[in-house]
This record gives sequence, C-alpha cells and structure tokens, in this order.
Amino acid sequence: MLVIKNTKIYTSADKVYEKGDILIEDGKISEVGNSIDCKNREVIDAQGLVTIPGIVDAHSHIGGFGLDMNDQDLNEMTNNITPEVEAVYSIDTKSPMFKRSLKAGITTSAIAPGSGNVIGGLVCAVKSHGHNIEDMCIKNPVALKMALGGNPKGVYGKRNQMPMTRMGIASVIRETFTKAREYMEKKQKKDIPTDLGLENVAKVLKKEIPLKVHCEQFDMLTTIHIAEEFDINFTLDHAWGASDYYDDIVNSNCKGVIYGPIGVLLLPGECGKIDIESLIELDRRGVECAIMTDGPISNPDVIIVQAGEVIRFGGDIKRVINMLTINAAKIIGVDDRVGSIEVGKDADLVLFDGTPALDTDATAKYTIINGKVFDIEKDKFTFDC
Amino acid sequence: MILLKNGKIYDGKGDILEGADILIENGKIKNIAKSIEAKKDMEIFDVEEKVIMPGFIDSLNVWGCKGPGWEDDDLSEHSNPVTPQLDVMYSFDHDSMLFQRVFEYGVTSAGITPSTSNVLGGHAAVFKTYGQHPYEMLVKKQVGMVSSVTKTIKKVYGSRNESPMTKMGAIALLKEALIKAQEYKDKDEKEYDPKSEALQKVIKRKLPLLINCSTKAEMDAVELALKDFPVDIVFTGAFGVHDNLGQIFKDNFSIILGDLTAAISYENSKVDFEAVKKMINKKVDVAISSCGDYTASGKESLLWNAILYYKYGLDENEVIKMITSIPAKILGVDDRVGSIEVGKDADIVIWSDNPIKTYNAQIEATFIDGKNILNSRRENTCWS
Repeated sequence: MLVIKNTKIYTSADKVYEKGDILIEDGKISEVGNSIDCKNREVIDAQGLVTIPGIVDAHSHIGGFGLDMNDQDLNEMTNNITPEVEAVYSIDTKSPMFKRSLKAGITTSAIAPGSGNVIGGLVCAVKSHGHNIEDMCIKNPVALKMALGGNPKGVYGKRNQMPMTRMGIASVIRETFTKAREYMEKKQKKDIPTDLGLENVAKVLKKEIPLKVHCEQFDMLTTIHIAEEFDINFTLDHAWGASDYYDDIVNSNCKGVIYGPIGVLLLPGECGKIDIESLIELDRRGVECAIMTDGPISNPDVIIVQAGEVIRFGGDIKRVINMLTINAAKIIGVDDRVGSIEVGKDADLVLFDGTPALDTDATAKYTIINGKVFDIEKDKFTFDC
Repeated sequence: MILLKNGKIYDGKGDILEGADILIENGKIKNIAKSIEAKKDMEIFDVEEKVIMPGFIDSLNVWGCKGPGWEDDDLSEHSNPVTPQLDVMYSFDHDSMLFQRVFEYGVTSAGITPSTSNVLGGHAAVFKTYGQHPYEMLVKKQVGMVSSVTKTIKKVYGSRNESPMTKMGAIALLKEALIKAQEYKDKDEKEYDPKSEALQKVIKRKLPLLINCSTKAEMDAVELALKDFPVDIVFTGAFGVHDNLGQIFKDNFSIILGDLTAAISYENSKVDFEAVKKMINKKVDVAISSCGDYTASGKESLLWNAILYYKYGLDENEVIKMITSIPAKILGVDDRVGSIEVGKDADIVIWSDNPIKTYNAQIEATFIDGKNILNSRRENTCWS
C-alpha cells in the first residue's frame, strides 16, 4: 500500500484538493481524502507537488512507426478500406516511445491505424507500460479509424484509383456502410460467410464503437452528414477549423473533439486554419474535448504544451486538465478504468513540480501506472503496489 | 513616434530594465530611459506590468519557401548534392511567410535556408516575418552556407545509387568542394566554376558553414574532416552536443540547437542539457531554433522550443538570449536585430507576462520596424 501525502490534487472528477492524500492498493486507487493514515505504509511526501490523473492521449500511433514515416506498420495501403485490420497487432511494445510517454506523464494512448486509407482499421487503448501487448492493451477495439481529405486522396489518387476526390471519399464511406448494413441484415436471417471487415463496420452501426475520423474544416460537415444518415457515433480528430462549425458539431452525434497537433507549417487548404482556442467554446457547449500528440508526430511533452496553448487563449486550468485526462478517457471509452482520481480506478497518476499547462517548467517527478511508481529522476520503477 | 511607458524590458542580451520607457522613431529604437517625456505627436502604450522583449529570431526555417500546394517545395534542389551556388532569396515568397503569421508568437526575423538534404545546399538569408515587399523584408542576404552530413542526404542520393550513400561519402564531397575552391582561388587563369566561386567567402572565413549534424559522431567527424580548412563552423540541429565537443575547433564554433517538439527524429530525445550548459559556460554561442531534418514548424514552434529547453534546465534569461541576440550574432545581423538597444530596428513585442515561464502569456503588440503589425493581414493573395 502506498500513500501520496500532502499534494495538490486535480481529480478530474470535479474536486480539487489544495492539500490531499491518495491511497493506492493493489494497483488501484482505494481512498482519496485528507489525512489518510500512513502507519506501516509506503509514503511519497508530495508536499509542493501537483497530482493529476495519468494523461490520456486519445490519438496516437506510437509503437507503429519507426525512425521515419516509411518504417511503419499502421497504414495497410493495399485497399482504400481495410476495416478488417487491427492496430493492436502492429504495436512494437518495446518502442522507446512508450518510455518517453511515461516520462511525460502519458499513461494511456489510443493507438490508431494511420490515415492512408478511408477506413484504416480498429483502434485500441494501450497503457504505457507492461510486459506485452496483452498486458498493456486495456480495451480493443475503442473505435474504427476513418480518414477524409488529403491523406487518402494522396495515396489512391496517385495510383489512379478511387478516391481521387473528396466526393470519392464520401462515396467510399457510404458504400461501405450500406454494404455493412445489408450484411448485418442477411447475417441475421441465414448463415452467410463471415466478412471480418464488415463485422467491424457493423460494430459502428450497432454503436458499440464510434468512428474515429481524421478530418478538418469542411470535411467535418461530411462526417456529420454521413453519420446522421447511418445513425452512427463519431469523434472528430485533428479538427483544425472547428471554430467555423460550432453549431453543426454541437447538434451532431459527435462524441468528442480530439484536437491537434499544432505547431505546424500552414498551407492553404486543409492545413490553413489552426484554432485550438475552439476547444474553449466547444467545452463550454458540452462537447467532450481532448488534445492529441499524434505521436510520433509530436513528442509526448507536446500534449502538455498544447494544453498550455488552450490556457494562453483563456482556458480554465481545471477544464484544461480534464481535456488531458477524463475527457480523453470518456471519448475512447476507458473512463471506467482511467482518467480521474477516484476510488476504484487504476492507480495512474502523475506528480508534477508545478501546474502542468500553466507553469512552463512543470516537470513530472513521478508517473504512477497501475500502482507502479516510476521515479523520473532515477529513471526507473522504485515501488510496486 | 511611439512611446512604450514603464515596462519591464528584457533587452535580449541578459539585462532586465524595470520601469523603463522605449521611444521608437522611423522604425528604429531612438531612446531607452526612465521617464522619457511624452509629447503630443507620440502614440503612447502604457506597458506597466507588461513584459517587453525583442522580437524572437528563428535561426533556420523553411517559412516562405514551401507551398501553397503540398508538393510545392522551393528548398530541395535534389539535382545534385553539391549546390553551394544557390541562394534562398530567389525562393522566398513573402506571401508564404505572411501566411504563417509567426509574429503572433513573437517571431519577427527568421533565417531561411535551403534544405538540409544536400551536402552543400546554398546561401541562407535573414528576413523579417512581416512586410509588403520581399526585398524590404530581407535583413541580410548570404548569411551562411548551408551544409549537412545527416542521413537525410543518404536517403535522397543513396537510394538513387548515387553519392553520397554513406557519411564518408558526404564528407568526401564536402572536402572535395572546399579543396577545389581553395585551388580555384590560387589559379591565375581559370574557367568559371560557380560552385568554387560561391565557396570563396566560406574558405576566407567571411561566411560561416551552417553544418547540419544530428549525432555526436557526425559532429566529431566534421571536426576531424575540416580541421585544416580556414572555415567558420556553426553546428545546426546538434542534438548530439557533448562535453568534449570542440576538441579540435576549441571554442571557435557556434551551435544552433534544433527542434525538440517532433518525435519522429529520435536523435532529439537524446540531448544532453548539461553539455549544452557547458558549451554556454565555455562562451560558445548557442542559439535555439526549430530547425531539423523532419520539421515543418509553425508559428508556435520557436517559443515551444524555448520553453522546452527552459523546462529541461537552461536558465530563463539564457533562453531569452538564445532566441534573440545570440541567433542575431551567429547570423551576422546583430547590427539591426536581436536586442532592445538604441539604434536597432524597433522589432519589439509586448507580452502580458513572461512567455518563457508561463503559458498564460499573451501578445498585446508586435512591432516590426516600429509598426504594430499584430493584426495586419495581406488580402487578395493566392494564399489567403
């Protein structure tokens, strides 16, 4: 058993303790409060430290890309739709990115297929530490990845194949969902051969998982429109230009906006509008908002830097910490396990020597994952409970 | 005339002036003093409790030379790995620079460079980040000769079965070009060679070699290879900066550190920040930039890099120098930009708080050449 003593706690469950304690038992949070008994228990004196839930990165590709973009296992670009593939089988759990994530305070990542295909495959939620993928993956699938715009156009258009245009992309999506709907109906009536891909698309139609859609600007409207037609849930990932479509997003089946990465060269067209401040308004209007690294596009530290940009535009620190934690956990459907500091949840915590996203030099001192304490200065796990 | 009243001024050279005024006239800093008398014809900014900094300088970037389309790249002349005769000023589209709006994050000047995928890439230039005419924005042309020995070059040429396919291949091409330039210099009768012509200033120490190195091994190899050449060296990228860097060059070199925000380049996760501090203590000029082989940085990137270098242990005031006066010195434009001093260009930013220390710092005005351009836009271009 471990007690974290005298720390400021952002629980991401409404409450902020100016000075509180957290008891960890068997890898779970078993008590949060003031003056928890320390007798015969391991103690971290966290006086002066700020504790938040382990950060949840709701859109990443770590472990699936190597040292350059060509060394990759997440874009199966042999067909414009590959709903049958699952990212979980492509993750190199020994990738140094997991340790970098842990040191930055990211304890869970939604790892998605890339955006080369219109439908890329299944997304899974993975912890930053564990012995193997069975150990690390806490939920699979969490979503079906889809991509609109320049990415799939760039891949298939160059081959003189569909989609070469945005209307081509919309047509591919509609065709896929129509086929999946028919497949579901037929499958119910008689014994037809299993189609692995359509089975996965059916999960979206049955609202077991949302579509995770790479889109920006007016491609968001395409997503909203098609999702309405097929009555499915979706998340808007990247979401550059969201500030043009507040009403459309708020009144749709959007289950969350996962923003980022910013800090990129601007080009007219889909890379021309960066408006991370839109998260403040979307959050105010009840949309779950989160921030992504798109790792390894951005370094894990940059998830906090981007959260800092929301602060720069006037965001409230408590709401912004929610964006790094509970909101992301809800969006990817793992909030029963992670995302907040509440009794019964996994003991995933980060202890900073300042307020992350506010103080630029706030640095993680300890990352606790499943109750295992990683001491960042010592660069190793020091305690397991 | 513009008068900034009663601010906390970081001059960019390490000094902080509390409660001082700045007078701007004709685009230049005319006076810095306590209680400068306000006159009728002055536009006055009350900057009490504000933080005044010089405009930041990103030493090495691609702004202005990429786009508007994804494939439009005017920096990568991959027809030959040795192209010192090129000059980036002919690739610079000021609308492309303006589109980035980097002045919204305090960046008022930038070194623009040919890409780091040639062994010798051509001349870099320094531009302001806002202006109505590209040549008016040009602070100085030919500020350095871009060079590189990283694996990016190998990828471009090696994959074609052309040289360089290896690091030793890259260094051989570099040495060959420099030797040829030296022999060219000494010849009485010569056939015009644009490459050797372009390298004359380099071999006379009049133009630094901005040499892109990612790893320790690459920097060590450059020291060894160039030890007998009369050239000035600036290591760029330089993620492998280490304690005994300068074993051969002594302290006769500078460093422009590269981008920490992208994770696809694994080298940038290995920076030894203690070694960076040692270089600073050795009086080596060390600047921070958002350059690198894989980056296409945005307006936020330079500030983010400054923040990350600060977070990893560099001193706050040192970091400010590393994005203002030091890059200006390395790029040879410190007569005009990089510090708040009388006579310098009035490239000044008003922040609500110190952006190196808190994210809760907003820009209230960005002056370039004495004009607050924070909300300026150029309409009616193919970029808008």
